[in-house]
Amino acid sequence: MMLINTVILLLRDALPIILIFALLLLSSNKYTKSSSQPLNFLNFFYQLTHSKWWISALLLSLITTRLLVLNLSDVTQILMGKGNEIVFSTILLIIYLMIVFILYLLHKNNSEKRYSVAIRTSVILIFVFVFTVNATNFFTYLTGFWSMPELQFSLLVGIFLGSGICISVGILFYFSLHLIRNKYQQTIIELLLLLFGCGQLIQALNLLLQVDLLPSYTALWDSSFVINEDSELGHFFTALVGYEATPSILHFSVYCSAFILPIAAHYYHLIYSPTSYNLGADNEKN
Amino acid sequence: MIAKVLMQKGRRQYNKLKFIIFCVFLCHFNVFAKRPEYIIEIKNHLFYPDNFSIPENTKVKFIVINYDQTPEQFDSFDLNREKVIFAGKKATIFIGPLSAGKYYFFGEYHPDNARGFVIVDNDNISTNNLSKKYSNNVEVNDVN
Repeated sequence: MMLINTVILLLRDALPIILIFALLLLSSNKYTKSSSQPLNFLNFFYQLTHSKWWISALLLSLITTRLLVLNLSDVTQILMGKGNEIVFSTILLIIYLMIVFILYLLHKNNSEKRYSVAIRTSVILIFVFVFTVNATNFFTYLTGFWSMPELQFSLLVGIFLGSGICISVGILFYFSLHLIRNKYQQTIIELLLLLFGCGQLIQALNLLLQVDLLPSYTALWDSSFVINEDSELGHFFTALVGYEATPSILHFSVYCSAFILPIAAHYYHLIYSPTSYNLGADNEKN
Repeated sequence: MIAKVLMQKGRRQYNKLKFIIFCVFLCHFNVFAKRPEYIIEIKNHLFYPDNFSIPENTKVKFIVINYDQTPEQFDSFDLNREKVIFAGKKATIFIGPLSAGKYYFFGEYHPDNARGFVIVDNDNISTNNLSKKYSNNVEVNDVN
């Protein structure tokens, strides 16, 4: 029983990490110019070894997660028991802001070295924050049950199986996006990144609603008969775009604003200062 | 001297932070509103009570107390809630306002045993009785 539970928990918590990793890897390919290479596993592993940002990001993530898990019990108790929600919602808000920032940078002249450094730093920070927020739950579970020797084998096997499934989903997601070999590929990846960021905001909203720091409203609709949040597809869409089966007016307005405002700002700048962008020129070259 | 300046600066920063938090709370005056309270206990990876009713269109406060030696996560897809309750600790979760219906919750670390549901109806009398009944059973001294 513990084995299946470990696999399910790992899948739920690792899915957003895997998806953002694939999206960031594809986004960072734009400025490393490696997306033009043919699609095969050899090139995928070449890109993994070529893009070294993920190694430092993973190490940093493990350290921050470990630190947070060690202090989570105390963090939870601060601010009248609202500490956990406030800290996590702040991190989730930062993730959204950093995603908007990275999208802004990707539309700048990325041949300049300062932009590539800024993109690399932002990519690392986004990964670290997403990893920390999502992995903390699983690490808490592991820490809580690891002290029981009879459960250790089940936990280990569960981690092994869950990791395998997660990596498979990640590779499938990466290649399915890589298969879009046309001028819309980068736009789709960037839109998915933005939607992922909006999803993080919805999570932050739920956390603040949970501790009564925001006013609650009744649900606008219930779409669980189309996609149930508890189903596999529901988990996937929740992790990728922040799917909510019963959103309130607050969820709806925050999500729409978070999605539309950066796009509107992008087009506003595109119209009023076209010289500062070379995206159109890049697409034509490709 | 330097320490004194730093202390003064720190105090000023702390006061500023307190002021910001106060302003944020003021912006949302609902935080001061009194909510109906319900107590859920976790014992041997089971919820007590595992079902109860709450009033329709009302925000309510759940106080979840974990008496087990391992952590548990209160989770609900229907209620959009997810919170870890550490061993021997308690946590507060607000839910609602909800329309009439049945809403399931479970313990994410023991999803097969720790399960329960909330029935939302407009029978406030039974709700208050339940709340009082379970409030009296809690030994909060055991929990940090």
